[in-house]
Amino acid sequence: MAQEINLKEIEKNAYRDSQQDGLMEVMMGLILMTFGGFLYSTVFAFYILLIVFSGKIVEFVRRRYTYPRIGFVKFHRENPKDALTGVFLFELAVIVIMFTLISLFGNVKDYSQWVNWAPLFFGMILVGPFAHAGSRSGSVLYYGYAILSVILGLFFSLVEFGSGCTGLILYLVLIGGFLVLGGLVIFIRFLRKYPLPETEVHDGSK
Amino acid sequence: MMAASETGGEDLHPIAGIDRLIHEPARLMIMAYLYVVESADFLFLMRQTGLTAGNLSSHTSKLEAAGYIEVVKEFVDRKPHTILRLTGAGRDAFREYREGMMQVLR
Repeated sequence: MAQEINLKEIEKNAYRDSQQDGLMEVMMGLILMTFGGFLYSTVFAFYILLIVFSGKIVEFVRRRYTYPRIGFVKFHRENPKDALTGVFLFELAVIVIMFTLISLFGNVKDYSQWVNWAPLFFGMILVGPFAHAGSRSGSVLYYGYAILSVILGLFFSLVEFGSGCTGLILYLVLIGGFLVLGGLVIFIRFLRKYPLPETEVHDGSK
Repeated sequence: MMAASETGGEDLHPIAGIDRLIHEPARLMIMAYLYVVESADFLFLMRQTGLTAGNLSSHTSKLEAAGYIEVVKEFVDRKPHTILRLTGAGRDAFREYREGMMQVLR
């Protein structure tokens, strides 16, 4: 029987179930869109507020809509040291890849080249959280998001948009908008799939 | 835990040392789910394990009585809310159970 207890699979199931409301996608999309807006019109305070309170906002909505439908679960916290090391190594790898790409196809000392390739840079950075969510949940959807973010990043890096950060802004607004819309669709499907229980689920004790 | 003397000695067969409280399939599921998370509420466990409220309640009571799980009852928006988590003893017992079963089935 113990051989049948695949704890990793159980953990993945639980994680996938807890994230099936699409709210993380909505929040991530909003952050990306706001960052794009910040590059355009410097709504810096709003961007910071959204990042600081994103967890609390998602939790607030989940308390109202998610937990009464599928229940509440709290996962073990990942070791902050391991998480930071992972993030640092991943970002370093992305910078090295970008540096190599720009050295091969352009001039690393040219600031405008870095700006042009910024969408791809962001696309590769986004692979980190998506791949992490994919490996934790076992859901291919997150890997799909990761691939899409890189492909769109490459597209917006290769297409000429004139001067400044236009390509990057468009990229962030588009990928953010895609995540917000996708997340909202998932959320609506979630609400339909799990209507509120007619009778309250109680543990039976007084 | 099953007494070794009841079955002719733990040394005769490692299965004698298997924790019967955890060995029951429904309780094993509950323990396994609580082992991989920090805590979960009653509804979440019910959905994950597929047990009815009555069944889950009965099994969690046994696990709580054995000191394997901690049950925290609170009120959220004036509605009762039950949170369950493994205790240290429960975590150790589950780990031992897994190791024991691996030994048996090896």
